[in-house]
Amino acid sequence: MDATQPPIYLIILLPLLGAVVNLVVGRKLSRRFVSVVGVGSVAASLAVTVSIIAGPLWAQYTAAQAGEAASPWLQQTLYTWIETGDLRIELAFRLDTLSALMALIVTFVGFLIHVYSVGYMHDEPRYAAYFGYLNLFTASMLVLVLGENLPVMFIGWEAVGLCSYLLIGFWFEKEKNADAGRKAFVVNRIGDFAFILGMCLLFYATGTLSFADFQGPEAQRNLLEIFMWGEPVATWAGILLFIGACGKTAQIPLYVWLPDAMAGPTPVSAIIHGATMVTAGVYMVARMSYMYASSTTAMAIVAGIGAVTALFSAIIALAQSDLKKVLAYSTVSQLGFMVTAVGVGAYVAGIFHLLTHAFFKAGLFLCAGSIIHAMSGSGDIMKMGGLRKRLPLTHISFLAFCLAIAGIFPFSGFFSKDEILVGALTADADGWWMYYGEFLWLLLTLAAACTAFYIFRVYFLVFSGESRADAATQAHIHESPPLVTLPLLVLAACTAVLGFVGIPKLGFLQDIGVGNAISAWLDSSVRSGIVPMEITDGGKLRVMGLVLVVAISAVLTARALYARGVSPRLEAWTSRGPWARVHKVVSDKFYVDELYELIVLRPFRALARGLFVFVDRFVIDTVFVAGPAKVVDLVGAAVRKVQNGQVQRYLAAILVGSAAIFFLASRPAISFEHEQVEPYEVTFEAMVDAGPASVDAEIEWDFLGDGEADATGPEVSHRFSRSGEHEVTMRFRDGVFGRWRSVSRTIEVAAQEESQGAGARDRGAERGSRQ
Amino acid sequence: MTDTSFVLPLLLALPVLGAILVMLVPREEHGLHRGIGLVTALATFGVALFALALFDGEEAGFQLVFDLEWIAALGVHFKVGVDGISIWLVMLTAFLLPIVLLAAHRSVSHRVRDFVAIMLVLQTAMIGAFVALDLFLFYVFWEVMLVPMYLLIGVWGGKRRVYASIKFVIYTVVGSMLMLAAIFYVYVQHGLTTGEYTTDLVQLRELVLPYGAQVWCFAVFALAFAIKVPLFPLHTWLPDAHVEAPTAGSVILAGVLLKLGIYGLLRFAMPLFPLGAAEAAPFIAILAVAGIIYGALVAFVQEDIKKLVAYSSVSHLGFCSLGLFTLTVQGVSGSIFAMLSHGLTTSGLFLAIGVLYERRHTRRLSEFGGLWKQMPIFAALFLIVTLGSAGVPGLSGFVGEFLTVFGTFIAGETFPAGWDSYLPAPKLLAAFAATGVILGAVYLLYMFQKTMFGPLDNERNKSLPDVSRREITVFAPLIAMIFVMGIAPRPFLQTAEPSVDRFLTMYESKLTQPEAVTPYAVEFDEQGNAHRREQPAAPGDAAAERDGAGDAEARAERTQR
Repeated sequence: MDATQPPIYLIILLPLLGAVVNLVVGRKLSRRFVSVVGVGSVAASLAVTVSIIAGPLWAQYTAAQAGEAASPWLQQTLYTWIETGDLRIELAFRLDTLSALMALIVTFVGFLIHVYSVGYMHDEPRYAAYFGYLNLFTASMLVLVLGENLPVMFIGWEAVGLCSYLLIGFWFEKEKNADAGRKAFVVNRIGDFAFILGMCLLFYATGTLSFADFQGPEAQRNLLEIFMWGEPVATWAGILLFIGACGKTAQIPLYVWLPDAMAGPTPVSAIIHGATMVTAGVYMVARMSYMYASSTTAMAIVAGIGAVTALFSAIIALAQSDLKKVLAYSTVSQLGFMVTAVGVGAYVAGIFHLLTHAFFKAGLFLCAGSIIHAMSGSGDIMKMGGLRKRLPLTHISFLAFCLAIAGIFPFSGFFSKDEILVGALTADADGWWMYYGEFLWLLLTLAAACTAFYIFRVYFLVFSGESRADAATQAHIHESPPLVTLPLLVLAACTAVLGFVGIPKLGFLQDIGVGNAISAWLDSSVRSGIVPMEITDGGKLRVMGLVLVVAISAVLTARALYARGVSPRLEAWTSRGPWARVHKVVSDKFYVDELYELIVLRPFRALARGLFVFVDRFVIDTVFVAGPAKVVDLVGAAVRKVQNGQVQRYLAAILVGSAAIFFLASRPAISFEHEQVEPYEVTFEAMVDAGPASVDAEIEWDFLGDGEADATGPEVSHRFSRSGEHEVTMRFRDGVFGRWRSVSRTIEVAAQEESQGAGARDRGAERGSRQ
Repeated sequence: MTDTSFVLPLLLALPVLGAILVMLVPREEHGLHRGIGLVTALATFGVALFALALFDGEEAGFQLVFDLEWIAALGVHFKVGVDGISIWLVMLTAFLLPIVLLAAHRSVSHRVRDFVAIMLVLQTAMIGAFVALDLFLFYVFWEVMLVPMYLLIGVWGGKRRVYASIKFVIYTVVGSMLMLAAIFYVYVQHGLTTGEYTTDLVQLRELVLPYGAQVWCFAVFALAFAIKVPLFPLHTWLPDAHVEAPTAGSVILAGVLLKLGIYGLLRFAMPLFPLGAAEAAPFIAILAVAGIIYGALVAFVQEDIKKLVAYSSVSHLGFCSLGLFTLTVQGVSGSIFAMLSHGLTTSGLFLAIGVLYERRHTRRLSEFGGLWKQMPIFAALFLIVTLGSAGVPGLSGFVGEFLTVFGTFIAGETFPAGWDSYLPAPKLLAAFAATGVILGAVYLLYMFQKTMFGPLDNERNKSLPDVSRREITVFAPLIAMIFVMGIAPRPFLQTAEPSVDRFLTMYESKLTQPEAVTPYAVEFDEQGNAHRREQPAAPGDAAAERDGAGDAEARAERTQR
């Protein structure tokens, strides 16, 4: 660790220490202390982040811009985490313009959510555990963001999954909440599975997993090598890593955990949707832009999945009646926008939208918390209405967030969404289908229309008209305490102005020195593999104008239909006739969860049970284990006396048995060969197998059949007195046991010389050499 | 022999001495038995730490070697030593025993004296099997281990303990009998080839047996070890043994005994019979992957928590076997690391189940639920070991699994033999093995949810006390090590690496060495007395003499097939 380096690790360590304190001893501490530790650690982390960015990183960045420093980023290696063979993984962190922006988002939005939680969770009995998890969540996300290589990123990647498991299932007394937490973890693990394989493939192909190395020429060359089916490594690794991203960033087909994730406390939804976790996939693709740049195929897949997800979940959000569910599907949809952006190579636009979305979505969830709190815990928007006067602060911030997400000028979402649309429209790459970019743009524009509609549907149903709640709930409605509303107002203020960091690059604006700040900031950290088509200022303005018109019309439609509760005409539409059926399919979320249950979960359970009952219990235990045992049992009836259950006897039997095996194994096979060399004269050769017993063996020959030894030795010859058949016996005394064994054979002795034996001898030699 | 050679014999003698001491104490003095047992186990752990301190992590060969002639007539030595691989397994064994003895404080209440003595004898046998450098000595320890384990299940076990213990013994004995025959064969072959009859592993592994013999001997050794691992489909003794064994037995069984299977393959079967291993590698790898998936799936449907964890061992040990047979540095290191990690996490899980069982005398998942509210400290401990087992990065389980999958993925690139014939297969196998990551989360979190989450609706669970100080003491070292191994795995990997490298280079070089020539006909002198060939030609020359070129080609063909 270089002492002159700024302490990047502190950004992570502070919330981690907060988590340790709150989780280990928090139960015994006062609430005030727990809050101070919980909020303070994130605030300190934010302060460190800001000071490092403003100080050393800025210096490094400007130096690199001026060509004085080699790289525009800071790097810090703590120690070597894993090392075996040529695989060496450093626990290293990297702060560049991209990860700095992410760290700012995580710590700043995270800090506000922590503050909000102090007010919101004040009655929670497991207060310390909550803050401990929240701190851990923040720390994990910071590991993910700041990690210098894929495995370190993966630590954070898995850890945020774990924290979401703990926080979504925080109120675990309800089985449903625990299920939701588990679902989140398992679905994320499906992604992580692919992520691990992606890392394997990348190391296999390039010999490195470090982000800095992927920018180098050697890794770039290796990434372009063909791996499978004519596609380069970059494509396959890109797809594998993106499956991981689909899990984290809730894209089709792995988005199913996110809508259920609202089972946790509302600030948890805010931190999952806003500051941590779900943005990880977008960030990862941007982080790996140097790899994705090598594969337009992978990028096409990323962009396609993103755009389809954006529209699909926006449609689902149109017909949900639970406030948090609308917001959850809205997040899936907005993430689709970001994923499309990074897929078409518009990384700046994607990260920009990530930034603006972090603020307005965290804000929307925090508002939702405030609203649900006021409504005595119910989130059913059909039973709300008229809250404008009762919750003035919540209302004003909610409106700001709605305008932002709907993409109304000048709120932040307008700028970032517009950048994505322009990026999609102008994207075109080698090997893409014709008009693919235009097609993506169309999907996103439709999704943008849906977005404006569903969010203002919620807005009007919640805040305008007359209250539809019952009397008891109405009596209880109250604005939340300052600790809750303050973060909302801060987020709302940010949302109103944040868009101006990304003013579109228009010629006439650039002429007067108004540039796109975020683009300039991020350009050094990402590389787009897709050169966008040229687009004129007029073209850009037309795209902007079109989407603005679409959004405003959607808002007005929503107002017409929902300003005084659900309008009667709409009511009639959705309750009868063909539209009712469509409405039902959409409000039942296209039955995706049911489909999963049918094609994944049930077969999985059936398979698992079937394997256990059939393979384990029946095939292995009954047929192969108990079956022979039955046979043995029958035999054993005869030798029951031996089986007296005394282990020492078994051991004795083991020894005796081993001796027998040894004896049999060491008993060499004996035989002999013969050959007639002259009339009446035959030579004999003993053939004895290897084995300890062949050492110092004795061999005798009996040619006359009288039992007397006529000759000794391995090779002898004998002159027979007559032709015809003779019985010849070879006797063998082995060297170990000293026992005699013999082998006899009748041979034919001819009066003339014959060559019959030669063949036999050859065969014998052949046999020997094979052993 | 250096002056440090006394360490390992001391390590082996201490527990036995402790056991003798325990047996001398009157039967009723339970406290004293436990005290002596614990002190002995701690002292043994101290000696093991001392051995670790003496151990030179840069060195690949065997260290702290102690060599004493034992049965001169047969060339059997009492030879023990450790390398970078076995030192950690010895540490694991020595580390777990004090924990186990402390954990058994309440659960074992009858025949305490016998229990403590048996555990200590078992300790010696296990350490002995890990440090033995003589094939015969290893076999003795291997078999001796069986008896205390048998008694542990049979005496202190559950209802079906007789069935379980007999199943355990029969399974194991079937494997080890055949192995004994193969040991004799190797012994005799080595004697015939070199003229020296010895069971010294270091000498025996210099011998390159003929191809056919290697295949058969490997098959027999692998069977014995695969039963112990247990490799799918030889695993069915394990759930039964675990369910019936007392907590202490389960911890030792899962924590240490199963590792002996992997260790045996690594130390004996593969170095002695590399050609056989090369032939078998893809098949064993496939069985290992099948075990990963099968164990996980079957674990998911278990109603008995202990059975669930037992099947999870089948899954985790699948990773260990797979890593070994990838024959890559990462795979083998991952396998060793996964063994150590599994020793910690699964022991933790069994201890946690023991805690629940002591309180409720049931292990049925449906009996529990919502316990987090009642036992928050226990829940936290249980959660950490569960996550460690599920392979969350930062905890110990991840490193082993990751390295194994990684090693599998790159297998076939580094080693020419065996794998290359199945080239797309390593990547496919890696993908299948990696599903263990998903499935592990599925069954472990299911288990955790069914016990800890949900409503606390069972009346009998509403008065359960949280973990006691003693129980926290039992868990604390395990959890500390789970964190240490997850956060700083490098020292463990680095100490093992020279030995792993050596294992792999020896394996590789033996694949290309000519097979040894054994004289198969007896030579006789003029008087007709039979003799072993006086000066056997150097193996290389003889092979060349006989049919050198053809044979080499045949082998090349085999390895490419």
